[in-house]
Amino acid sequence: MNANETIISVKELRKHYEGGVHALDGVDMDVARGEVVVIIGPSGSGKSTLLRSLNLLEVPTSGQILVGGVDLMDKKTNINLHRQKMGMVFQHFNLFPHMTVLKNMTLAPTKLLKKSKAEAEKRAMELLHTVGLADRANAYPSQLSGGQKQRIAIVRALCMEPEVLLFDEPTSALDPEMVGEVLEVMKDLARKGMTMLVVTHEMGFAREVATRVVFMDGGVIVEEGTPTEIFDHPKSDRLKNFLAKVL
Amino acid sequence: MKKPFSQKKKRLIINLCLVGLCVLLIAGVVAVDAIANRKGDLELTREDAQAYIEKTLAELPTAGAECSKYTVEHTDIEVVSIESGAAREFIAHVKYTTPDVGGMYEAHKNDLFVSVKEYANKREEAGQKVNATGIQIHVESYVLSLLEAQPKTSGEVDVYFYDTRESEPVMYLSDEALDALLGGYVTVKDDVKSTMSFTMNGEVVSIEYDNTFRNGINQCFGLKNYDAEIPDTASPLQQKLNDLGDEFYRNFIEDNRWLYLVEGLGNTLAITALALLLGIVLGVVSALIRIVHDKTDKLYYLDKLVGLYISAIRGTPVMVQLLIIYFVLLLPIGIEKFPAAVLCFGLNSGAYVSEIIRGGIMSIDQGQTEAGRSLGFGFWPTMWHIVIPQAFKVVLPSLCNEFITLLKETSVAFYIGVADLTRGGIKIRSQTYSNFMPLLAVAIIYFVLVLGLTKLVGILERRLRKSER
Repeated sequence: MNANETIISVKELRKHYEGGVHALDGVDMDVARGEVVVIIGPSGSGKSTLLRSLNLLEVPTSGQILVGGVDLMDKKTNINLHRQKMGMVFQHFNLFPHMTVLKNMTLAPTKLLKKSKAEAEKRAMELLHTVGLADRANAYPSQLSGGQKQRIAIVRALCMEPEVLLFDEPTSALDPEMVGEVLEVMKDLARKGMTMLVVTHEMGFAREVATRVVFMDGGVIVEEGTPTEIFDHPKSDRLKNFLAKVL
Repeated sequence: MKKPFSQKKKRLIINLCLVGLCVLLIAGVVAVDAIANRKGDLELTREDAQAYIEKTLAELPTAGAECSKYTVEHTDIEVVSIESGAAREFIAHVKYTTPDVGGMYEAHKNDLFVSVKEYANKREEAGQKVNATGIQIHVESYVLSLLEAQPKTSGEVDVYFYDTRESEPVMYLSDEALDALLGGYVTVKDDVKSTMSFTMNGEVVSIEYDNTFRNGINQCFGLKNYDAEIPDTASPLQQKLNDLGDEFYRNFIEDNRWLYLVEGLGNTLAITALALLLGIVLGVVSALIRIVHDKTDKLYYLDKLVGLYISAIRGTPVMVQLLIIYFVLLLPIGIEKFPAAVLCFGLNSGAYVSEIIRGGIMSIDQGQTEAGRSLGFGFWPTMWHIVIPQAFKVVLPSLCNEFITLLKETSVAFYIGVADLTRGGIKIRSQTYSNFMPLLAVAIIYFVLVLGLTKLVGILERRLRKSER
């Protein structure tokens, strides 16, 4: 595994909605293995659309997305297979409410990776231990707090052993006192070398963990660079403006 | 300081008040009934009793034949004593003297018929049609002459009077008493009724199929329409209850009429179950077609077809659908009523089930689908593992309501002649001419079914909810 190998390559990505809204208006971006890319920007800037496009939860209007050298926009690509390698964590957790935590985590590995139940459960329990929720394995999502739900959602994605994790505003729906526990898990993942793309408003997290920060506005990438470059030496007025409001 | 009542206590008090009111109401009705049911106001004297008996005997044989009046005229009655019986009855001990009609009939039976036969033969030879009236005239004079010569019989008999809250007591003549007072009338009546043949000149002649002779003899003795019933002396409330009991007996027990309801219930349940099965299959398939179309833009024509099906079914009354499906579509190709009803209600239910299921699936957060897809599940596995199990819980109550509606809706099946529960009630009604009992019974059966189903659904729902907690 080459540490600097480009894993995601996005070219000229556009997403136009009917009615003339351009959510993405020509985005180019490369992500190398092991990078933690934090995407920031005002609401409506297209950050979530970009993230969701990488998983084809949004189908772009035009452009190219190469993941591990495979063109996602090609109709012949098996998108389900691609998604297995690309975990996603949602703002609203999206745990399956009719299943226990353990079942939430083992469903996909047993059905898609054809792991045995025991094998899948063993891996799930290991992951639960790492996020300190092993005792909640048989609880239902409705019995968990928001922070617990999001931690479960993260390890559920990890159960598929993905190469990349996408985070779509993972802390926005949480009560403030629970944000920390989720960010802690994400930092831990970053330290272990997981390739991550994170859309967030947690600037502290971006500064501390990101290898690269991308600032988007109006459907395009306005500025990108190391956290120091972005937060301490912003070049464009739009970024300065944005930072003035959020910091 | 006043303590405010808790909600629970308040409800308890209201319930107690309602129960108390009901008890008071029932007590009131019973009291009024008891007062209305006063006893011992009527007195019966010997003279009254004598007059009542004579009047009744004179009116009894309703044929108006002369000879019966003659018989009554020759009957002497003397009321010896009157005694109060149980609750509301008086018993008059009566001495009687009367022509022995029975004996006379026995002694001259063959002569009588011979005479009838000869008379008939003579008329037929003369080219005249014999009828009962003609014979009656002939027999009457013959019997009258016999009566004149007949020795009298005498004896004692009890006659019953009842206090029925009329202005005067009502008399009940048992067959035995009537027979005695009229000198063997009832005996003769039965005899004439059962006579199938007689001997004429040593030859047995059958009269089985020739009613003219029997009619003639019947009329001659004035033996038509004697029917005495013991008067109902019960209290008004009791009488109402008795009436209800009789009604119940007549509508359900007599001739095993309850079997109509059982058979109807079986058919109703069978139609409902089969239609439900068909409806669920149709509903699931068409809901999935619409959802696939909504989410992926595929299946354009199938979606249009399903849309047409659903709006056609929802836009027309089920009864019209039934009539069209059976009389227009299926009857000409020789399909029976029962499968036609199943098909109609299945199609009808399918349209509603489809909308319920579609609504249920749509109600599941889009995030659930996204989570499933992001893990790598395809469209159908995501549906199967994640969306449908959740949608099932959402739609279950509506689906069960649809089931209950379907059960009740099948009652229109009787329009094409399916022997369902409703038709069972209507069949009984057409036989007994009573509306109350059969229709009420049908309603109660439907109601109990629906109540049971509702309870079951409640239990099922609670179970499902538990699994989520």
